[in-house]
Amino acid sequence: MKKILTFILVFYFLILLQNSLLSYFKVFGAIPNLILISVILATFFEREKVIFEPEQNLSILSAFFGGFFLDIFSNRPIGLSIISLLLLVFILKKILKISETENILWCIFIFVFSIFLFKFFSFLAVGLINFPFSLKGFLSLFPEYFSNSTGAEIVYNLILGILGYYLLELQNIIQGKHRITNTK
Amino acid sequence: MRFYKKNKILIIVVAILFILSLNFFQKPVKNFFYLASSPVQKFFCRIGENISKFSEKIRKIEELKEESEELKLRNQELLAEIVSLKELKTENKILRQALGLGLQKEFKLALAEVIGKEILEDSILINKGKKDGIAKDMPVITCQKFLIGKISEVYKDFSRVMLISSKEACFDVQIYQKDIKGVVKGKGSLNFFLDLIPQDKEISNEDIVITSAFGGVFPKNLLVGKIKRIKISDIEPFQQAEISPFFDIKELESVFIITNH
Repeated sequence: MKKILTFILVFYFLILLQNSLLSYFKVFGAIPNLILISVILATFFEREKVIFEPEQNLSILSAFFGGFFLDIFSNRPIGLSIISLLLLVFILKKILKISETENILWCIFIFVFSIFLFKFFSFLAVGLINFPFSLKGFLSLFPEYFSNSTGAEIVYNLILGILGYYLLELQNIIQGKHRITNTK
Repeated sequence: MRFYKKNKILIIVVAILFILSLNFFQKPVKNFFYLASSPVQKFFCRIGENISKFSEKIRKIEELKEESEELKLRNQELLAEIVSLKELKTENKILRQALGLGLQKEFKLALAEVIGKEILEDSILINKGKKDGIAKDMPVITCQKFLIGKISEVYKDFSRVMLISSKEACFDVQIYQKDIKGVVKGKGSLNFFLDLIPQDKEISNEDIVITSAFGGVFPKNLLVGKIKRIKISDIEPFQQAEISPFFDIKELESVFIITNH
């Protein structure tokens, strides 16, 4: 319960940071999505049984609370980001369960793939809630979602993600915990 | 915990439904969060603004620095241009003077700048050399047709001019508008004198000495100087006279080399 409360506070802090301070640090029109980065990292580290125990399903909780705060501080209906993040965590968990690779390039690929996937889910969600649904209107949203700043967004998120990854790794080392890969 | 494990999906679905139901009160819910977060958000915004302003200032300082460097460079370029234009102006003035005297009709000339003056050796260094077609013994004059000397040494880009006051200088002259011929010899230290004037010939102070074609060292009618003081001695077979040069070595900045003599 203590961990859940910490999670809520951390995500609340992150969304405030993202929506206020980071809006002054745009790079090619892109702002990093700290919530998304945190959810991906939580899924990663949950697999490794180091900081987060899989039994606690903290990746799902992070997706839940992260998504909730993302929706609260945006003009989207509450629940869309939650569903997008939950779907992302679900897919990511499946992929990580199959793959046992620890290669950094693989991690980067997973990270980029996750960012794309989340963007695609958000695009789907926003497109589908527009009633009455029209395919033309839905497709017209595509360029808006995958504009020129997408590349910058990916790179920005990736850099912060790698930074977060190594910070958590460092915490592992400080705590003297060893990496135990969750195998079948 | 066991209940959670067994009904994990059910819990998630209920939670999602609960969250979705919040959409019915979307505005008050969001308003509550915005109200609660506004002090923190304002604080973060202020920090962001300050950092942004600071980085903007740094960027502007960098820009100003670059601009200042560019302006300095431009200033230097303009200064160099001014110097070059002044040089051209002087050169133009000299050439105009030369044109006025009709020098270009009489001789083929090459303009050179004086870059060194060695008064003790009675020589000057000019910035024209072998690659400009300069050769040894070419006469050197000013734009007013005053005789300076002749080329004594030629380098690739420079030449040394032996002044007519050099101890080695010796050439035939005549007195202007008088049929009196003589020889000018250098004494060194910018002094030279007229020699070999027969005793029966009458010369006077302020008489103008010009070169004669005799001897072929210099072309005729170049201005050498004015008679300053005449030395008459009964025991000497010839008259001698000190000559004051027409040119002032201190003001000598550019000269002409006669390349077709």
